Amino acid sequence: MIKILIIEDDEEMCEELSDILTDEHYIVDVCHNGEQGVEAIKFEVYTIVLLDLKMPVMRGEEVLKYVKEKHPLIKVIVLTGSPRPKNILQQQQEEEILFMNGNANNDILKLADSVINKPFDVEKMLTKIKELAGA
Amino acid sequence: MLIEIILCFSVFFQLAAVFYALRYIKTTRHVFSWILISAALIIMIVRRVIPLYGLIVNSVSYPVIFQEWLGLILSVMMFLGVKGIGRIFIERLENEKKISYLATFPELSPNPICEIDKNGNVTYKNPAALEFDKKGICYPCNLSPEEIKDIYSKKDEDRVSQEKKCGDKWYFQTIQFIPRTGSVRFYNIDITERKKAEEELMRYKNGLENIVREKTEELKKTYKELEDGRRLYDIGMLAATIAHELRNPLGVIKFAVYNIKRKSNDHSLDSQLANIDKKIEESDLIIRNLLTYSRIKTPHYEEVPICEVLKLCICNCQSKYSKYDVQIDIKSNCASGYTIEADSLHINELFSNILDNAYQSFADKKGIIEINIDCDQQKKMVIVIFRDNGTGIDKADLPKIATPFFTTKARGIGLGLAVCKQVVNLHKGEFNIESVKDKGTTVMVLLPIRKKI
Repeated sequence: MIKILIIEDDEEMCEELSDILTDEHYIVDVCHNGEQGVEAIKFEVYTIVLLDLKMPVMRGEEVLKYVKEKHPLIKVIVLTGSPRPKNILQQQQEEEILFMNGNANNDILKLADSVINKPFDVEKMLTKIKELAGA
Repeated sequence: MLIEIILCFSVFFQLAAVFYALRYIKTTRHVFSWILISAALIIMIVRRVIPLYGLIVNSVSYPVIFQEWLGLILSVMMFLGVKGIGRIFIERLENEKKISYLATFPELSPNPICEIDKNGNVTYKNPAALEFDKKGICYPCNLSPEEIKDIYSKKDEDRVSQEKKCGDKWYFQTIQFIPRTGSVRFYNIDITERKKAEEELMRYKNGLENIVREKTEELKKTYKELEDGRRLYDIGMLAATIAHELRNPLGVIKFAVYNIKRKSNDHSLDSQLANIDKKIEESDLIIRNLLTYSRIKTPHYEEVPICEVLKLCICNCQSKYSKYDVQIDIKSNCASGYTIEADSLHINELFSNILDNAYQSFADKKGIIEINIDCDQQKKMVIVIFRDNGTGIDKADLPKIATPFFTTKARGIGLGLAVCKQVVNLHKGEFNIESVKDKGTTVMVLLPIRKKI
């Protein structure tokens, strides 16, 4: 069974998302901030982490850095609300790999296996998760 | 005995007189000294002759004592005379010497000095002034009658000074009135060099002032642009925050809709759920449009294939306004793949906004847009001209169109042209709009080919 950890401070979001993923036969754990997420990763083996960036206690970027340093095998999908496409022509070709705007650390974000924009296209997201889980 | 004593005294005075006379000869070397000496000798002779004279004339022998007294008196007189006259004479001589020395002051001065009398006649010119006369060079001693009159009007002031231009030279003129004779003296100093330096300084100062004025104007303009830019930037920041905050709940709604659809299996709900989905998409579009304003800040320079970006914008517009029947003609003299240094997102935003406005100006959803791209390497600018035959802009509205939040449309927030202007300003280009109501609008964009610092 593939285990997925959702680190996201919005409870309703977690509820709906875990509902969808459970229905797809994944085992889903939920954490509401970055610190809890890091603790959870220490005790459980997850295949995929769905990570929000804007969170209390510990920001998503820090969690991403930690995960990629300590557990490089875990796939991380970043969920973001404000993307900045790298280049207008590239935007047309690769819609999924988007980079953060503003003061967020763009370089850190490159560590992520995938970045998905809010509001989500559910089908696309499920395909991506399936692809990463299979790899 | 008495006779001997008197004789001694008179000899002493005679010798003293001769001594003084010799001294004066030595110091003055003047003929008058010789006269004194001669006088002394004559008196001595006379003194010897007087007894003889008495003897001859009267045959009366004066007493010897009388002769000797007379001799002494004459000797004393001679001594006093020689001494007193000599002193006066030496004093006069010394004065003369002093005066002749003082006279060298104006005489040797390299600056022209002159004096005129009441009638304006020149009474004195020093050699320097005469030199000027000889050479025929202008100098301030040659005064016109008006000038003399003018100078005399200032007579009550003891001393007047003025700067006087003469030919290409400048003189500082000190004017002194001599009340005793009524004459006027002029002392002139050549200050051409100083004047030149002053003029240079003045020119420099004026130049500086001009530069400061220019720079102030420039600063004012830049400040205004900055202010506008700042406003857009603030809007952008606000937009980015709102967008981010709104996307979270939108995401949840979308998941919830997906779950409802999955769990209910009730097809009667489908149209409602589809509507929710559609409105979520619309909300997202609004957010995405708002977000573009947050990107209007310092350009992220890269090589931008300008024609390709323009074509992409046209494609996007055509799919966005699929119900419109618009003919787009492109004329271009640019090689394909021709790039300029710019921010691709900004350029995309710029062209999209201009095309949006053009499309929205077609009241009956029909029209022609002409686009002309001129990549003239020599001008260092790419010129893109968009010409439409839409409704155009009211003359009264033209100055306001680039103001943020100004709009004449029922839908829209009025940032399109503000963003265009800001983008062009950020790239240090030029942005112009000309429009005739009911005839159409022409938008001209000039962008530097290479990044301008």
